[in-house]
Amino acid sequence: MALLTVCELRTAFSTGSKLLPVVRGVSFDLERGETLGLVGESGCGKSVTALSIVRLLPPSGKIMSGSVIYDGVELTSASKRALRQVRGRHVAMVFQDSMTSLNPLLTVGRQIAEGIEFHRGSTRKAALARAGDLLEEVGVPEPGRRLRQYPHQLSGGLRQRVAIAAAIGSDPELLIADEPTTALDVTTQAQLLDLLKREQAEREMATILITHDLGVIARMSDRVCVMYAGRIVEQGNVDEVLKDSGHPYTEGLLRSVPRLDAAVVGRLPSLPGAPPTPGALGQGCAFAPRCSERIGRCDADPALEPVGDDGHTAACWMRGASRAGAR
Amino acid sequence: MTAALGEPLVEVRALTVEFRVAAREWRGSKLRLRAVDDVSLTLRRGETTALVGESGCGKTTFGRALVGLYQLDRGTVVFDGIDMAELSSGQLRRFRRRIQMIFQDPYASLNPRMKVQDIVEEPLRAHRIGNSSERSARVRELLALVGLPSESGSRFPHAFSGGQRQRIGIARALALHPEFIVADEPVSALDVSIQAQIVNLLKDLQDQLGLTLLVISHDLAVVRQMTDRVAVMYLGSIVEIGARDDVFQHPLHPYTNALLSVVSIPDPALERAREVRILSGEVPSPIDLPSGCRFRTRCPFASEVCERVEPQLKDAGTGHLVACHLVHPPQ
Repeated sequence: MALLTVCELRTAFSTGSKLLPVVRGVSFDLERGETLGLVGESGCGKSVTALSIVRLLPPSGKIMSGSVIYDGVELTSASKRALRQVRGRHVAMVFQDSMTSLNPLLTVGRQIAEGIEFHRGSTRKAALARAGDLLEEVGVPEPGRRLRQYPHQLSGGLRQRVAIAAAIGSDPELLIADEPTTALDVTTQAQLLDLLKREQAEREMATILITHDLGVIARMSDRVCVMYAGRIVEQGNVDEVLKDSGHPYTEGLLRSVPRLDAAVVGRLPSLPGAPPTPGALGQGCAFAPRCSERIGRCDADPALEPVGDDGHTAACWMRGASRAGAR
Repeated sequence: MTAALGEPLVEVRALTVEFRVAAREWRGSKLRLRAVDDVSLTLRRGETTALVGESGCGKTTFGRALVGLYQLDRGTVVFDGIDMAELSSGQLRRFRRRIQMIFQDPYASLNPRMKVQDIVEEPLRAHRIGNSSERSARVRELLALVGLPSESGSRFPHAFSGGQRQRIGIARALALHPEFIVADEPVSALDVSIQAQIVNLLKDLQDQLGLTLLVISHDLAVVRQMTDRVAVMYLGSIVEIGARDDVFQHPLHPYTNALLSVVSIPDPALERAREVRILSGEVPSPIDLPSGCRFRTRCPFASEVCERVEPQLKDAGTGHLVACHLVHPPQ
């Protein structure tokens, strides 16, 4: 059985009188120990998908329908008490901005020890000692001194290491990392990705990695879901999706990323236009207005269909099994 | 006097910019933070030079100093043969038309309460150029030049996406027919699919208008697609500079090497096989620079001499300069 099953998840945000659909029917499975990349541009719904899974949506956001089953437990209808047992203990999160995700009034030591005390029932002293060990494990120099410092006294890279230490402190089975390295410098980014990969392998922790960076996806994930306008438009094994894409959006995105191993070109291939805003979605395929392969049938919504081996699917009328009858 | 294409347009000599910062440990006294330390750089007309490095390396301070936004502590900026420090304030004001800036954040750099046509027209009004109808004609021309529909002028910035806002910022920078533009992280706030559009636009505009560009960026893969020369900055100082292909294909400085090795490639097989050189530790504070080579605290090849002697930027052949004792062993 999969560790996490998300099925037809729909989340909307209310703005005044209107309900804006942000996640529009997302489904995926995550196996134990597996890393799933969620990739897409800003506003595609990847973060909201993650926040919906652990029910940490802001007050204006609401899960409209669908189910999230974690280890046999339905989270969309779980009680607050049950959720608290899952969050932090079984499912931990690391966010992009460690300046706002860490409590500025707590020392680094308290920050990490708090979760260990709550979830493991350790004494204060034991939890603090464990926090020191964790800091050492995530490569924070002078852990003894750092335990007594506050978040603002640390650099961005160190803060993110602290956030990772706090997340893995209760040995979660699932880590949700939302753009964990985006705010960091490139050399620090490489250090942190390396750390995440090592921790994940040692702890056999399943990971949902949310990022806009296809290079990070290539380095870190086993499988990938490409999101566009609140939907998964392609999913599959990372090699299949990035080497043999089944959706024009994935292809366009890959083409527009300048690569250091490719020649310098006169003009970079670019996708025309911009992604639609949640309120402005029309009928049919959301990518159609920017797509060079658009046909009449794109006025209707395509569903995910097999385009390759190993469960590789894409939502495009021009690919997949229904292609034969498309024209 | 006007420099021809390929002639030096901007010559920066031994530029130093310092900030005075308060430090709690030193109550009362102020510390000096040297953001840019003795940097010399020549920009040729019609050429694009990229200044790359991580946050805090001084690249933005350098760019702003060139545009005249900071007091220079030492050094000179000679623009088209004229030392900018010797201009009177009136002369400097007229002179500034020739130098413009494009900013990183298209949300913060446009006034949300001004219509797009007023934003683009503002530089013309500030410099009292043309009458109202001439100025409107120029605004329409500029909007077309950056690929925005003509009716954009009557709308406010919030109606535009990040990429379109960046086009508005570019139109404003072009309003006064500048010769030199400093673009500070022009695409890093944009989504991947939009980045390519703006990179292409900047390249087209440069070809059409013969602009000289200084592109400040941390993204080596993007910069490689739009630059002729590359300067790599670390802790306020240029550690390597040269023609694009020299630096990208034969990087000489260990820092440049590390920066290039951490750029990931969206190809899983390549990524698994690729050797990533992860630098240990963090960038030291610019208030308390290491002795000798400023990169030595993170350099895997640092030796005793790196601690004592500061390496100078020297030619390693064909104008490819590097400041490293590995390449130029000290006598």
